[in-house]
Amino acid sequence: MALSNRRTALRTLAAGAVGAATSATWVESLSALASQQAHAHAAQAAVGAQKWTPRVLNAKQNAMVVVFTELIIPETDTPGAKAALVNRFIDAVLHAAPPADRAAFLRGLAWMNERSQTVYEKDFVSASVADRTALLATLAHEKNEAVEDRLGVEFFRAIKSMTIDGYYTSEIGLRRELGDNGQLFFAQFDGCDHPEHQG
Amino acid sequence: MTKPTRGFPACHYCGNCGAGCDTASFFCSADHLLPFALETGKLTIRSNAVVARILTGENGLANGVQYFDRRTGAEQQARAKVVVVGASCVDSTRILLNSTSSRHPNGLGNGSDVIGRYLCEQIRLNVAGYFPSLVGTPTRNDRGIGGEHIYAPRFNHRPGHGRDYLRGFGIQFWNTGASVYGAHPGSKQIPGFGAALKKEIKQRHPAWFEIHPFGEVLPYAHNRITVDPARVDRYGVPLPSIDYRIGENERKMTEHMADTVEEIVKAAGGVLVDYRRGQLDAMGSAVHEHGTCRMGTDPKRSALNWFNQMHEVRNVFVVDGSAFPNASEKNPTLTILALAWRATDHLAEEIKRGAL
Ligand SMILES: Cc1cc2nc3c(=O)[nH]c(=O)nc-3n(C[C@H](O)[C@H](O)[C@H](O)COP(=O)(O)OP(=O)(O)OC[C@H]3O[C@@H](n4cnc5c(N)ncnc54)[C@H](O)[C@@H]3O)c2cc1C
Ligand code: SF4
Repeated sequence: MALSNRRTALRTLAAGAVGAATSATWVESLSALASQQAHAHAAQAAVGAQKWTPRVLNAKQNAMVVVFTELIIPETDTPGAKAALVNRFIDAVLHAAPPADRAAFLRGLAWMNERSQTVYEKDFVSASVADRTALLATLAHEKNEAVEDRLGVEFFRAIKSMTIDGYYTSEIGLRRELGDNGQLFFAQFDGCDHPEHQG
Repeated sequence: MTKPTRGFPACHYCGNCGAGCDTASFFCSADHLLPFALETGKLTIRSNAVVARILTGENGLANGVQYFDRRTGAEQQARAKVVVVGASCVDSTRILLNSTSSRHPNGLGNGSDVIGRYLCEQIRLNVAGYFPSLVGTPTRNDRGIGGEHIYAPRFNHRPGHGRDYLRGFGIQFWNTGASVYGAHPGSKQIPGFGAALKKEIKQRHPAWFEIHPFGEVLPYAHNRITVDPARVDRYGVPLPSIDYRIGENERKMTEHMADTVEEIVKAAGGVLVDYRRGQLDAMGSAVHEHGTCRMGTDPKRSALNWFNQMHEVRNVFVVDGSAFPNASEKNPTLTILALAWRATDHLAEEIKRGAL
């Protein structure tokens, strides 16, 4: 399975290179890196360590990432991205990312704040839930090709992809949300039981 | 292994083979060959030794290797009566081509100029989707080991299944059921965000599938690994450079792959996600490289004999995928192992009878 994912990552990178018109390479590249790191993340219980200081994000950026990821995967009948500490995962991916991709991501965050200021006269974290959701909805709109939104649209795709990897490889995401109890093994393999294939 | 073997227990079906087996219940040379070879006291393993070239004497035969210590960068040599090369297809080829001398100006044992040519890496389609009939069902334990559940062997040689191209393809089926690592890979393609996205990801999680046809690429002389003196690694050794393109035969095969996958998915009631008909994965994604040091009976058209022994340098054996004259559509590792085993049995006999 890990092999399959490595191959998928290769493909994602290749697709990024070909489809540059529709998707910026940094988005694909961060996305592929997040998929790779997710495996380590799944195996690593220390994500929830009490003491944690971000290595890339400053306090403001971190707060924004927390809000953002929770908007993407919110608390429902199970906890959301915030409780799963997806911000820490994203910080780790950014830390491992090439400097240019990291910078693009941080530019995306800044862009979101500016846009929020322009439209709602508040920065993103202080805007109302309804306003933030509305802002995200424009960026998430599949047909949004407005040039002035381009960075925002790319940024949304990058952070969504990283959030999905981080959340669903956390204990909360994997076990509580997806109902995967990690019991992979079979007592034995009995072989095929289709009657037409016997004898 | 279904029975205890060499003191290791039988497989307990935990499904984690992709990360290596803690109980050594599948065959792997690190568990099942090397410790026993070490016990004989006749094996020394030199770790962190990056081989650059095979060294030759006046007589043109190999007499050792030049290598660099990965930690210190120091250049060293190991002397040998026989050199067995198994650095995988691309790197073995690179080592051979870099091993030039007055007796071997075109690379070691490469008077025929076949070394580096006929690179056969397979082509591969990556098709994914989900079964609506499984959407919303509970996450199940139906993964089997590792990931791949089903293998469809090549079938186009059967009556009524042939098409107007040579050779064929097999198909691997992955992830039917839940993905081991987080949400299924199609999650990122689901539009939107918020509670609706979260619900949709969960619903589709047990329904995801992936289908990967792997197809043979014919051996073409122009598909070629060369070494480029202008681009060197940190030890100053030239890096490989790869020219690769597929032709009409492979394009026809790709069409057949696409038709087959579409037919299977339709019959099974699946929905394809982000499907681009006939778009092959980046060349190299199959990671089944072969052919650049091919075996054969004619020393003018091949580099090795049928015991993986070089025609031109009889004390050098090349025992990886580069020895295959063509790629087939299959996963190669067991065949590489079998041929390597056979080659080294032959080598042992040759040494015993004093021929080497
Ligand atoms: C993601 C992935 C999935 C795969 N899945 C399958 C599968 O399911 N089934 C299957 O049959 N095959 C599979 N393969 C292919 C399989 O891994 C290879 O065909 C096989 O490992 C090749 O064996 P080898 O001994 O030739 O080379 P390798 O296993 O690559 O061994 C070569 C060794 O040489 C060492 N080496 C390289 N250069 C030097 C040097 N200059 N000096 C010293 N040492 C060197 C390397 O470190 C390595 O240990 C997969 C490959 C990949 C990458
Ligand atoms: S399923 Fe794989 S990892 Fe688990 S015991 Fe068997 S061989 Fe080992």
